[in-house]
Amino acid sequence: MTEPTEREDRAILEALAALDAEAPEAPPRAGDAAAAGPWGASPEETEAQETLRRLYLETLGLLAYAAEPAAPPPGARERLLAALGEGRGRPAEPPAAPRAAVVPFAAPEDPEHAAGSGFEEPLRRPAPRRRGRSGALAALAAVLLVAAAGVAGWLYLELDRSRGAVARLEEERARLAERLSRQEALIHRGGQIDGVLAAVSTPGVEVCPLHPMGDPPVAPGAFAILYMPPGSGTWYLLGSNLRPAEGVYLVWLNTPRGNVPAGVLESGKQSILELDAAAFGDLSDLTSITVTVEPSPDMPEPQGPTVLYGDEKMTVL
Amino acid sequence: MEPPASPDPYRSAGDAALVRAVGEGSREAVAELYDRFAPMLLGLARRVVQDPAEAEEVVQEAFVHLWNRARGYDSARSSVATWLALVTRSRAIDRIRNRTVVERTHAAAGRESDGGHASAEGAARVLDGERRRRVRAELAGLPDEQRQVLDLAFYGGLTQREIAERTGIPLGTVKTRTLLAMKKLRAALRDEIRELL
Repeated sequence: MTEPTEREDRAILEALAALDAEAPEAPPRAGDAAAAGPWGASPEETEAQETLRRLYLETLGLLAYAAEPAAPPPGARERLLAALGEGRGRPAEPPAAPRAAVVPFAAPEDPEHAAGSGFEEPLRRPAPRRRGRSGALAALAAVLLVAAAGVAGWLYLELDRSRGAVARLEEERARLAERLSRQEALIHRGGQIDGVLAAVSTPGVEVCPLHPMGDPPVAPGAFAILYMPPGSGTWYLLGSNLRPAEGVYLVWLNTPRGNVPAGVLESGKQSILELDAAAFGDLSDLTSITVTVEPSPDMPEPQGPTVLYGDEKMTVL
Repeated sequence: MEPPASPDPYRSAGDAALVRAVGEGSREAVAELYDRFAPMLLGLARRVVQDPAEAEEVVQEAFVHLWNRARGYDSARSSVATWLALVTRSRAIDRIRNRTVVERTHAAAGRESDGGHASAEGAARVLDGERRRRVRAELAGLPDEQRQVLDLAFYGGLTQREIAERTGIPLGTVKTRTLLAMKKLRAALRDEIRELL
């Protein structure tokens, strides 16, 4: 299993390597055989790795915005479009407008020819028929109307197709954003676990177990442990078996001066609350830690039932 | 049925949808992408090649690349903005790598006399302006030594080893500084990255 820091460093190096890729639109995925290297990553790790690589590639892409933008000189856009040439795929043509009916050559009106004169008369265009000017205009108008209807129909279909494509891409974007959030949460949790492991293994770490309260217990089976590594401003509260409640599990640091809300401990089989102890001021007179169920994380004082309580500090290492 | 009133679907389309339209041969989509990204790309190219005329050629090459390779674009791998930026950067770096000393001298002389094109402030979008402001602020907030290695890597096209050789800093230190800078930037530009996805 790859350590989170190593994984992140590797993602950065992959993103930097993509800068010099021959085809930047297709940098190697983190999971590609060539890119997997000796790590032997699991599918979950590979996905996390790919997400990280993507995040760092986008970070590099953003560096382009640090340069002073420049307005393209006049005509540059037109020169570009002219340079694109006609060689590659072109937009689908709109459906052809219905053509005017082809008028076959009329039969000769000359009765002599009509009767047959002993030889085949070559087909020739008859003398133009005399038609009223208004009739010709009406015919032209009809043709134009049909053509306009055809173009309108094509435009509508094109618009509909474009909207469908945009909608699909929006869905894709939403899926990607959700996946990104999940991966970031995983990475964040990985970082927290790293912190907990470091805290737990710090020589002289102080530990305060929190026991369930109530008879019967408000949260049966739940417990928590607060780790306070010496010399570190970060404490970790690890909760276990906290079932979802109608409210939030709010943590309180209790001193003779009052109760200080310290954050929300999420429900779940395992949950971690990272405490910036320095932010709470002097905690040398800390007497106990409690977890209560409150309707809101913004409660100034504990009002709900106490779920967990701990007042016994011990040094385990 | 009346077609819905939306005169320009390209203007309202997302970047990825436009690239797909380019893949199907739409010049209108190329034009729209040009309007969206050319100021940023031209600024990037100028920063790298240090020559306005050459920068315009670089951007044109990038859009020709887009025209020819749009079907190969994979939105799961990078945003359109990043893709175009990296293509442009790559073309610009190729230019400076291929330059002779004489050409560099000429380019520098041209730079001195160049009045530049009109300000892009009017052309750049408000969103781009905000994004630019954030990126610059975060870059400015990096320690000098970290910003230096990023500059040399991104705008100078140097590898980590080349940066070490040029600056006389040990390779390990270059890597450490690069990693630290990238981690800080990713964390600081989180919202901007989300906008790109």
